[in-house]
Amino acid sequence: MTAPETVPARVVDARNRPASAGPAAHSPQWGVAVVLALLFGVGAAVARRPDIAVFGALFALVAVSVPARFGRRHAPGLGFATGTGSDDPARGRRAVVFRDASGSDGAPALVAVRALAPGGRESALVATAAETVHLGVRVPLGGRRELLHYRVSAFSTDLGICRDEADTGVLTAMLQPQASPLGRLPIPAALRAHAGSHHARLRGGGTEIRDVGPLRHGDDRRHIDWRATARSTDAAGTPLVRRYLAPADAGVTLAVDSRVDVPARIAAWVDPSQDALRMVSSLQLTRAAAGSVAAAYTSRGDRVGLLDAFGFGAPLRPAGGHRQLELLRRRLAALAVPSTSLQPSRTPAPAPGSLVYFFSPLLEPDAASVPAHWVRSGHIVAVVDTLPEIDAAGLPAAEGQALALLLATRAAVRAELATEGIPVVPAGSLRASLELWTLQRARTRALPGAAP
Amino acid sequence: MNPLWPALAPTHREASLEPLEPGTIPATTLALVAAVLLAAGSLPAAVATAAGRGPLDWVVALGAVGLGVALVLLWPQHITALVALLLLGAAYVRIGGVGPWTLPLYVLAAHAIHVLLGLAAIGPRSARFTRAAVGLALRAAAWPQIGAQVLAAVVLLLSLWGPRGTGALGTAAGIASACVLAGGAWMASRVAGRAEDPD
Repeated sequence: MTAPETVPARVVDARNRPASAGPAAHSPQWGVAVVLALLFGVGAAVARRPDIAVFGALFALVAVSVPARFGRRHAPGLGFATGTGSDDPARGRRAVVFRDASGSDGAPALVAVRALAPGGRESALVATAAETVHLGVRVPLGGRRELLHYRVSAFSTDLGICRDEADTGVLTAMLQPQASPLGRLPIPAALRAHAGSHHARLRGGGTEIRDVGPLRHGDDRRHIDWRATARSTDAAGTPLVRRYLAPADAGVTLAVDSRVDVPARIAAWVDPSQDALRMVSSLQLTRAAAGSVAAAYTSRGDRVGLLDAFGFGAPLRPAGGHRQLELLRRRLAALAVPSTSLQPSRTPAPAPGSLVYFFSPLLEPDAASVPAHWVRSGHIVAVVDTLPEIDAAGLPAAEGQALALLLATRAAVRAELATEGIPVVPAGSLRASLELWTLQRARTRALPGAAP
Repeated sequence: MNPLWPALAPTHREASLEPLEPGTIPATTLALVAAVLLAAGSLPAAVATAAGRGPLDWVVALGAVGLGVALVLLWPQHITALVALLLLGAAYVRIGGVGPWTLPLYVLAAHAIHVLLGLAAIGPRSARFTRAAVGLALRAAAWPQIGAQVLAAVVLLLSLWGPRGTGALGTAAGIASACVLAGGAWMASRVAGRAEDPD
C-alpha cells in the first residue's frame, strides 16, 4: 500500500532564527582597483608619462563600475511556500516554491541556494532576487521528515560581493495519511451492550435535538414543530421540523506499535546510505491503515481514539466528528519511533468496551502480550499486520540468517495471537480482510474474547 | 564499470533539489560555453604564432589552448578562469600578427569566460542557473570587464607609436584588471561555500 501522490503536505521551514546578514559585505575588487588607480596616477605624475596615467584610468574604470558595498537590504533570506504546489509524480517529487524573502527594494541581486537532502547529493540553484522558482524536492510517503538542509547567499550582480545567511535552514515536511475507503466494518450489534450509546453529529433518529429547520424531503413529518411554525414569520408557511442527532454506539481505539519502523527492502534496515525516504515502511502502512479505519468510523458517527500500545506518548481520548479525525490524522502523521528504549512499565488501557485495532509489524517477541491482555480484559481486538512485503534481494548470508530468525519470532507471535483467538489482518489488503472478519463475526456471533 | 565515476557508482544519489520549470542551465553547460569561447578567442593567435614554424611550435601552441580548454571543462573555477584569461592575454601580444579584427573576439571571450566560470564556481557541479540569473550577471559585469579590456587593447594599439615598454605594461594592466575582478569573485564564492558549522 502506498500513499497516493495527491496527499496534502505541509512544508515547514524550521529555522530557529530568522534570516540575518552574515559578515559585512564590502567589495575587495573596489578596494584593490582604487589602490591601483591611485598608484598608477602617482607614478604617472612622478614620471611625467601620460601613458601610465591611462593605466590608472583603467583601474579607475573598474572602481567606478563595480559596487563598493552590499547594503543591508541585501541580507539574504528564503521563503518557502507553506504547502506544496504542483506535483511531479513521475520522479517522486513535489514542488515547493522559494522566493527571496530579504525584502529587498528591487535592487538587482543573485540568490544562490545550496541544499543537501538526506540520501541525496548536494545541489544548488542560482536565480535573481526577483524570481520565484518552483523546486522539486523528494518527500516521504508519509509522516514527518527533514527534507533539506539549506543555506542561502546573496551575490552582487558582478559576483564580487556575497552576503551569507547566518543560519543553516532546515525544511521539514509533514504528510498526513490518505484514507482509503473501507467497506463493511465490524461493530455495532456486538458492541452496543458494552459501549453504551452516544450521539453522533449526523442527523438521525436519536433523542437529542440537533436543529430546527424548514421541512425538506426526507424529514419525518411526525417531527414537525407546530408551535415553532406558528411563531415563524415565513410568509410561505413552510412547516418547521425538529431534527435529532443519530445514535452511535461504537467506540474504537487505534493502538499503534511504534517501536520499530522497518522499510520493505531488508538491506535498508542496516544500511543508512540506502534511500529509505520513498520506501514503504511499517510505520507508513500504520499511518495509512489507521487513517483509513479512523475515517471510516468517524464518517459513521462513531468515536475513535488513539494510543501507543506500549505507553509512549499521551493517548487521544475517543471522540467523534471531523475535528477528531483531523486530530487523529495529525497524530498519525507525526508518528515516529520513540527516541528512548526505556519502555513504560504500565500497559495503557483502551476506553472501556471499545473495539481495539492493534497496528504492529509483529517483529518484537512481546508484540502479542498487549493485545492478549486487552482481550482478557473484555475488549474485542483485531491486529493489523503492518509489516510491508519484504524484499530480501542482495542480502548477505549472515544477514539472511538473521532475517530467518526474525521471521521465526514473528511466526511465534502470530501463533500466540491465534491461540488467544485474535484475528490478524494484513494492512496491505485492509478492506477485504475487514469485510471477511465482519462476515465471520456475523456468522459466529462471537462474544468478546470468546473463541470463534 | 569505474566505481570512481559518480554516475556509475552502485548507489547513485539524486540531486537534493531540482527546478521543475524547464529552461534552467546546468553549470556544466556554462563551462562548455566558456571552453568554446576560449578556444575561439585564442586559436587565431595560436595559429598565427605557429604558422611557418616547425611541428614542435604547432604542438606547443595548440597544446596550450587544448590544456586551457580541458581545465575549463574539468574544473570550472576561478583559478581556471585566470588561466584562460592569461591565455587570452597572450593572444593580445600577438594581435599585431593576427590583425585588429580579432580584438572584439578577445574582449567578448574574456568577459564571458570571467562571468560564466565565476557563476559556475558559486555552487557545486550539479548547480543550475535560471536564464535570468545568467543574463543579469553577463549584463552587470559587462561594464567593468569589457571596459577594462577595451581600454587595455587601446593602450596596446597606441603603444605601437608610444614609448618603449608601453605595450607590455598595457597588457599586464589588462590582465591585472581581469585578475582583480576574478579574485573578488573568488573571495565572494569562498564566503558562500564555507563549511557548515555542526553546532
